[in-house]
Amino acid sequence: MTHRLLKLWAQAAERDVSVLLPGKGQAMSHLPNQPEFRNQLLAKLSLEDLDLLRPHLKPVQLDVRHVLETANEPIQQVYFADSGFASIVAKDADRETEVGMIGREGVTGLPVLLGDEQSPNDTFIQLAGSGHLLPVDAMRSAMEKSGTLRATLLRYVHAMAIQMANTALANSKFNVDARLGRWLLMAHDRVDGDQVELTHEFLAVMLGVRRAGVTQAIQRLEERKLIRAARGRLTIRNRRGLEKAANGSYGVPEAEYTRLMSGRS
Amino acid sequence: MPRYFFHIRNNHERLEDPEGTELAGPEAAHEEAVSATIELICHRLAAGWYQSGEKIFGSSIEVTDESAASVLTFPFAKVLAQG
Repeated sequence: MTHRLLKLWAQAAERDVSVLLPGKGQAMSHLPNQPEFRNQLLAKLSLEDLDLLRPHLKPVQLDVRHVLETANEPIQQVYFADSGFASIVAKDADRETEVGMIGREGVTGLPVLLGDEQSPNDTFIQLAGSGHLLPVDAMRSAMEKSGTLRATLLRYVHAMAIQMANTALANSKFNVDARLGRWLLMAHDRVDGDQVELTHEFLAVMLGVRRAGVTQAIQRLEERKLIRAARGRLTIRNRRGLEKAANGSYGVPEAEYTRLMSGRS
Repeated sequence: MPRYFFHIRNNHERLEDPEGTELAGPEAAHEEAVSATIELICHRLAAGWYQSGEKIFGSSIEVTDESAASVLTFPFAKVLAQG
């Protein structure tokens, strides 16, 4: 799931033509001439598996801060994003930090996929966008009916576990500049275009630092001409430079996602 | 609650805080400035400040209120002067 592939994918979806992407030929071969869903997980499913979900998928537009899951409360719906992304946030009384990011490569509601119904984390929309909501009952019964659907979703959960492990690594062993670089690359992978709209306040939660630390890190990346910052909006100017700034903290989960999800489902 | 802005002064330049944070009052703003300073220094130390020669102890946090009036200035060096 490299950035370039995602861009190609988005362009292909917009042009309503199907292209064979490197490493994605097999998943694509299940599809009719035009991809029905921009969400990559849905796009990977066989027509049979998709038929189990399709009647229950409800197209929606979700705003920033829209709450998908509240800590310790039963999850009602899972969300397949087409654009924008959601954050899984771990918290205690007065601290919170992002532990996972889910965009068009996946689906929210990991506890449901694993047979549970809730978690101590919150999940909310971090960057507004559109996608499809699916009631958890429909997800559960589809997973009971189809072993291939179950296998695909569990592989995705493993990809998320790897992402979360690497977030732990980044937050404990990398400096704020590298973490900001990594986060921006992950966000860039999940948006159309080069702009990410968000406040320093949000970014502070995402990176697990105070806002002042975000202000400084943004300024240093701006000085290196890797990003442009305007009020509430960051523009990626030099993706390759950001990869350098991320200093190795970006890339492993993305490569693992490709390894796990490029096979036949 | 009033909104306070935490700008960072590095030598001649000032990094603007475009958003600010809502806090109970000047005392809470002072506490936030101290915590932010400690965190910033920790991050710079961890990022190899000692080897880099970067001058961070001349920096300070300047707190302003919604009318852009100065509330307080907290020099980074002050956290070292304690105890």
